[in-house]
Amino acid sequence: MYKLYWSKRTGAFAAETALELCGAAFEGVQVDHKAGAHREAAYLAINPAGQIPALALPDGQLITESAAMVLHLADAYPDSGYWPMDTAERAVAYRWLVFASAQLYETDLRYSYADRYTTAPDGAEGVRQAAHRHIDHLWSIVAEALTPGPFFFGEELTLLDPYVAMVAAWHYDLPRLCAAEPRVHALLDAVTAHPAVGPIWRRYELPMPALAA
Amino acid sequence: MANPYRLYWTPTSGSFVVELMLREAGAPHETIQVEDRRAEDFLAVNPLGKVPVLELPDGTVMTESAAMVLQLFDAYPEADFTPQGAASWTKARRWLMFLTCELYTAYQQSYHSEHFTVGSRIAREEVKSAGRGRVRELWKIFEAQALDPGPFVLGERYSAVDAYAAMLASWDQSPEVLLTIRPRLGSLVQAVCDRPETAAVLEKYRLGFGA
Repeated sequence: MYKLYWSKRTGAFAAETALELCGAAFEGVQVDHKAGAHREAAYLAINPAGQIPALALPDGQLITESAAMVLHLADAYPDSGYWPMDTAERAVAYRWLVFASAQLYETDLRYSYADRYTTAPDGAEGVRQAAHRHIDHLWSIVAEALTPGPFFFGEELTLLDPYVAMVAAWHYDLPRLCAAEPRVHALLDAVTAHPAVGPIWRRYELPMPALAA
Repeated sequence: MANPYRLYWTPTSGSFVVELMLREAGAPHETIQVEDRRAEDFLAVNPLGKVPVLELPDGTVMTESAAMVLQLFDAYPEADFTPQGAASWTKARRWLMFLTCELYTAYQQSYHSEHFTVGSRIAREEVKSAGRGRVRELWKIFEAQALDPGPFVLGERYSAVDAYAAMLASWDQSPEVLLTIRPRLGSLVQAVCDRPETAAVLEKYRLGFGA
């Protein structure tokens, strides 16, 4: 059985969604991020880096990058239908999953934890502003790939869509993102309305695009 | 007849690992050096103005070097550089994602601090310095968790994740210092350099590991 160490509003959402869609047996262990439980000895013994999410595989191996969890589940459940099998479509899925994790997710961190990106005591504001500017440019690039939408592969939901929607929900000004990029808004609407994914979205207390807009 | 892979590259860029894989796989490919990443014809290929860009034989255009590595794993399941077996697959992808999400961006922060702050020259120096600290911390985690026991991420067996790590190490401000304080990373780099195709690609990309 898989064991997912999760906390509200974190990247664990993408992993839990993937576990659920693939029909994998798993147990969720909530780590109280707000109370600092991820920095306590009990959790550090499981994951020395203290990051959430962490996913323990049935064979005991622990994974810490949410995109790696998605790739693992896509591979472990090839018949789930939630990851493309066609070579060209897989290239597209890999491209946007890595884009979402290495570019979008990383840029979100820059405005959420701006003080970590500078050694100057008063440097955070400059980091935050640069990150705001950059993320808006990145989303304009993603919007191009969401044609015709609402998902990356049209009407077919894949594990990529909840991941990208989650990262969109972390935007510093979600109503502004939804207004500027209608295709991203449509992705958020479709992901949050999905019968299997919507309930997980709400349990993770990710913001609803309809309320944001 | 299928078209060749087409790789857009610049010296010292993340195209290195992709070209190394294409050569090792014996994949028909051509490489196009990008002279001006801000030129309109290149921005039409990748609006972010970044290399590498890889065009697949069927015409699909990819960005993101780590995504290309995953794609070439799929395309060449029997290659030396492709992990074999479920546990190896998972470990390889986990550390590939770590390298691209964490270390790659920390190096970007060290070298392109102007993208990380709107502040003055002094503010950029402070961002650079935080980036270098992050780089050191991340290599420490990588060595402790991914290279235990080594020499490769998958133990005795090479994979393209090792070439990816070696490429990032060559971007260090002082690779020779890095490889001294992280001896297991040093052994990984040495083992990657000993592969027959590596030297020529390193030279083409003007990458190296100091004295």
